[in-house]
Amino acid sequence: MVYSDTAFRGSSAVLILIACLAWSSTLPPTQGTSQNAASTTREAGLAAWQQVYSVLTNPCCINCHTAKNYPEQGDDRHRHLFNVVRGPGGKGVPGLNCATCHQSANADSTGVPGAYNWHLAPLSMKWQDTNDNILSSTAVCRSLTDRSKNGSLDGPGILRHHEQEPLVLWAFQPGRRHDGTARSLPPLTHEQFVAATRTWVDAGMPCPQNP
Amino acid sequence: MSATTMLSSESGLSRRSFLRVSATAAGGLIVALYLDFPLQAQAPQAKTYPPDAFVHIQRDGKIVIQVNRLEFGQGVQTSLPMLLADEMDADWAHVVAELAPAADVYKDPVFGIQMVGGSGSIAHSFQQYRELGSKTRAMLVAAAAQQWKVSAPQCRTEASVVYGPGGRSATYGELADAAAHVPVPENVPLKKASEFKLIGKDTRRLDSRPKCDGSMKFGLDLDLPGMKVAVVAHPPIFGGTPKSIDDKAARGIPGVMDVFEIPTISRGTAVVVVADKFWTAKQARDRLSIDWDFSRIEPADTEQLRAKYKELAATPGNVAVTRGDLSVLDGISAANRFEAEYEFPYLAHTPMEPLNTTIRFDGDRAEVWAGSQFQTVDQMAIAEIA
Amino acid sequence: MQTYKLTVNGQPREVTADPSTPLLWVLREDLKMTGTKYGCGISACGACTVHLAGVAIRSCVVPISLIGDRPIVTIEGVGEDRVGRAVQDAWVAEDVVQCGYCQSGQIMSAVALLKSRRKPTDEDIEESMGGNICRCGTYVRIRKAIKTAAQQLA
Repeated sequence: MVYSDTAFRGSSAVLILIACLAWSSTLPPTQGTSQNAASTTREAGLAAWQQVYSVLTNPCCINCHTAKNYPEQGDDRHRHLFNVVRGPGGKGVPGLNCATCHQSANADSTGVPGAYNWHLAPLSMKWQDTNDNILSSTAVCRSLTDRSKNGSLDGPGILRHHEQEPLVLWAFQPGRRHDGTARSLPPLTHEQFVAATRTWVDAGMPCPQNP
Repeated sequence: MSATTMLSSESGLSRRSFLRVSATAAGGLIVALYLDFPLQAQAPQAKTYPPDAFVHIQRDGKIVIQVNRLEFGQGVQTSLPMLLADEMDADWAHVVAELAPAADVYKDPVFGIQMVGGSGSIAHSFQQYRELGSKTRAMLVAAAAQQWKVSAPQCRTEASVVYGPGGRSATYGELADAAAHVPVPENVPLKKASEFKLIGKDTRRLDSRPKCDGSMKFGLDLDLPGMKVAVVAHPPIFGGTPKSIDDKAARGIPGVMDVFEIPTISRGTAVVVVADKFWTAKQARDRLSIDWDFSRIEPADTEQLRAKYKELAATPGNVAVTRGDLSVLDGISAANRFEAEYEFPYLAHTPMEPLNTTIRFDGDRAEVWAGSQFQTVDQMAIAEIA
Repeated sequence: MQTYKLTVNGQPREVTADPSTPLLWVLREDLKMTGTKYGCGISACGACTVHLAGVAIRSCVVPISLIGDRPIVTIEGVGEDRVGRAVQDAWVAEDVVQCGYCQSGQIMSAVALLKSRRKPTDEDIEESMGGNICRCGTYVRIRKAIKTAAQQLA
């Protein structure tokens, strides 16, 4: 089935309602036996995906899912200051590792965010292009579900990642900036994010067709 | 960094010139003086520079040389001692350089204040330090000659040793006490360039090692018993003053001792937090809630200033450098002339070390430690306030 | 205020400080070790660099509460080790320093680099040292000194 963008937006309210109903019943992560069940699940899944996508492309996540040799920082996603670079393992270089500043917890008194094993997502997990343009929902979805790119994760693996990975959890408790103000939060709470992921995974991780 | 002591008597700078100095000390003074005195090696003005204020030869042979400038990377703490040590025939390995305190005798011989800047250190103290070295050498030779009952010309010096006839020798350390009693000679010969052992030769800096092992003390590193730390909340625009200050949160931090206002040099008012430690003071300063009043300030507008500078640049001004014969231009048509306008951005002379000063004041006397570029000027400014 | 047990340059030390205090100020004011410098306080300049469990860190932004039991090495102690000594000697041999304020941090970063890469290329040096700024512009000599030290250590 082909969904146009406008059809999508127009029916989003309906889809979210259906998504909630779908989530409350335990549907197997397959297409379903009847056309109706399949489209409900798929629609629910796609709606849930949009929610997941809204979090993934929020600065809290996308600043480290870059296509370049360095991370970004801030709500405006500017290049991370101080000449830090990706380094061979995404952990910076000797003398300028991520861990040179970022520790395993937020340092609110100095404005440096932190979480266990702070580092860049590998280039295979980039969600923006080299011009800093955020990739489309379809492109990110395809990238996320490509096991050759996503660290060999299957659906449950992705769900677990969203539930438990410290760097993911960090995005929802990003700490305070140097000037004392609280960092911006993603559009969903962590619980909502996990729920949306679960719905999407249960629906078979459908991706929107439009590039 | 050096300790300065307050002098009760003025040192000869008239009030008017002091005001001119203090008002334009940062840049205007240097430019004006540069234009008045082209940079060439200057003979020091008729003034006695007593060697003992500049050189201290210890009994163990260590030679401590006072540098009348601030060292802030330009190497003057090595280069001025080189001049003195060369004329003195000192063993360079025994030389220790110290930054002199603020005093009349350390004033720049041409500028008349103790300072560093305007590329004047070598130009103005080249002759001065060489003479000091030569005088010191002469006194050491005289002391040896006296002891050996020979004449000075019969002696020669090399690497902190005086050699006399008949194989006699004595180290500078051995002769130091006796040399102190020898009258300082008025006129002394200076080496010919071909005789230089240090001057003009590739010489390593004296301050490298301590700057590589953490032992060199900068201004911020000073620690005195009972010392407090003050951190300032400056008005964001020069001349601003607080309309209101909420210091409840600041005072609530344990270790904060006081919060009060001080006048600034730009006729504004800043707010100071005093605490037992830097981090305490800094956190408290950050938690001050200040409503600033800028109503009395004539606002500076970058574009307006730029336009004004361009306008002024087109008018005749003080000539800094003239090369060649300008009248040649008269014969060249505008179409064949090449003119270029160079625009420099605002140049903040940013030190790496955050600006800081330490003052120990007992109500009567203030001792000051600072990375000061204008020691005697700062001395007078502090005297005015204290 | 809390009490923390630290290991600094191989020695056990104990301090009582507010947990939010950056390690830099604990070193400088509580332990009176002023070799590590305060240049910016926002991890922009590198003058505050020390080693924490072998990793270079910016002590001006890492609070004492996050140190744990990881051993600390500062500029005062880095010369106890072969690489540290080689770097300091190279710095002196090449007359690297001018005002010297940044050099504690430069040396600590250079040591971290050389412990990881025995023969750093120009690109390695630029990437690893690119976060240590020097107002006097001694970069060219820093690069030379790193290579001199690498040769010494080979």
